Amino acid sequence: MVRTEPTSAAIRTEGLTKFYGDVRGVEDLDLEVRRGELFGFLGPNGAGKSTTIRLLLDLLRPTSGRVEVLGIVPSSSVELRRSLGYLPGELSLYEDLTGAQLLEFFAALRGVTDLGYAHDLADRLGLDLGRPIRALSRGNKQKVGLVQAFFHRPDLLILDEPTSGLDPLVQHEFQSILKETVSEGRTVFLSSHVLSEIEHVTHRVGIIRSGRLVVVEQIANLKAKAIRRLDVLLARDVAPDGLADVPGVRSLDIEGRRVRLTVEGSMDGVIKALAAYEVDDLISEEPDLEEIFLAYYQEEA
Amino acid sequence: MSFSVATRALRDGRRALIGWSIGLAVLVGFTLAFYPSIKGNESYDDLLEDMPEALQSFVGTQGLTSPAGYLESQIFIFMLPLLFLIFEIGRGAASIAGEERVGTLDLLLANPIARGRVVVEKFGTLVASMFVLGLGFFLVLLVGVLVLDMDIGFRSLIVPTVGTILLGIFFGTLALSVGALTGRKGTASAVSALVAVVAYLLNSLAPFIGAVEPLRVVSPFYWALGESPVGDPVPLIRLILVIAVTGLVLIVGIFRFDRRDLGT
Repeated sequence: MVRTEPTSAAIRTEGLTKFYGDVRGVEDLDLEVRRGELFGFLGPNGAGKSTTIRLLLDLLRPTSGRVEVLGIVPSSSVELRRSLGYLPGELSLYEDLTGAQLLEFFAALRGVTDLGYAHDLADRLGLDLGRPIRALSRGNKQKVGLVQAFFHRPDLLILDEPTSGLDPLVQHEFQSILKETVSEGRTVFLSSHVLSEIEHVTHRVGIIRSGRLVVVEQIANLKAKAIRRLDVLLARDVAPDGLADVPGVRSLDIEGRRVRLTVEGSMDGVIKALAAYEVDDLISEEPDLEEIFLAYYQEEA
Repeated sequence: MSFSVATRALRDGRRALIGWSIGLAVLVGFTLAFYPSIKGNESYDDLLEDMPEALQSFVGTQGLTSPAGYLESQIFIFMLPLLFLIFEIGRGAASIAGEERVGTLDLLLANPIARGRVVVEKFGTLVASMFVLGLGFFLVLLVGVLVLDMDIGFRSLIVPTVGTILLGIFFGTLALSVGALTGRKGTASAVSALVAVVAYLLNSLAPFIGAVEPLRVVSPFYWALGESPVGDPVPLIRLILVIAVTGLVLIVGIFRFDRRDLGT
């Protein structure tokens, strides 16, 4: 269908830089996403995720540096986009159309005649394609956005914050769609500002901060380095000793029955040490992105 | 090769087009219906002759009571161009800049369709809808002229009608291209409206202001309608000039649109 280079990386950028006037979008970004990979692009809002994605789609042109998508420079080929599925971060749909009409429109633009998979996806996500888009909730609009990205079975999916607005049940279904896509040898590049949204599905994660790529890491390694906060409420006011010496414990603060810890990597040691006491409550917080960044910076320093 | 973008845009604008067509038909019908009460009442022409020449130019040069004078002063010299321009500038500005502002352009251009192709198809819808509206107008005009038994040649009806249609398309294309250039719908409308006002004044007033008289030849109103649209229909070559300049404006729009960053 499209002459993309099957042996090339799915995405490759070299020194990719985009400035909006004096304002930095991304700077000196070197990124490589392999074929068949599920790659997470992680960073706080405003870090340059959408800028990078819009450069991949040729909606923006680089200030300097190089982009290749499926071995092709995006600005050199309209046909490349046949092999891409895109979900924008700020999704705007043709509100006057129904979901089905929107898909028919895009199918016509792509020369796709079979909408069977589109209806499958809609069913799985619990989306009624017959309703006008303007009458849909935010979550349902997001589903329309997802279906239009996937329905033509593109080689590469570029999804900007795909899970925003989806309820947990739908997120679960979406994750299985992602896994199927990758199992067919296709590639997914998705962005998020929350690690937990992507940690169960992605293979590798790139973290971007203030327009620069901080690190690209296997998700397992990343989590091993992640620092978690642990808030423990003991049944009795007994100052537990030895906790500070447990491997991975970075800080410890005991205040009566309440014990606050930060732990790097595995929780195992801490849990086993705590098992000696009667525990009323235990709260573990999601590792904060900033803390993961800090972990990396500390390592570099 | 299908024209999905054009088809969609046409479908999107069909209600507005129907509304405009009905409104215009009613307006033109009413205007024509008053002709019998004006006809033969030459005091209107005397009144006109007492006015300063510059003022006269706003109602044409054919008087008020002759068929040509009535159609020129009441329809072609001001009302019809004004309405066609409003119709087309609004659509032109919404074509690209409107979609960019709403955000649907991102999704549209993620499909395998060239940016230039999108501009051309949007242009196609501007042309098509302007011709539909123009045809509706012309039919009402013809019926009115026949019913009222107005003594006027076919050429005096068709040339200013086509001229006004082309003028509308020119300004619609200007709005489309400025929108494609800047991504700003407001700018697209404002620039086009400003150019239209200047062009209109140049055509109407230039003959009375020596210093700007030579500038009249740069006014699209002069090309498409001339000094007396009905009494002295413009030659074909001037209509071709309108088409050529429209094409030029379109090409500049496509060229620049293809090279710039799209806004979110």
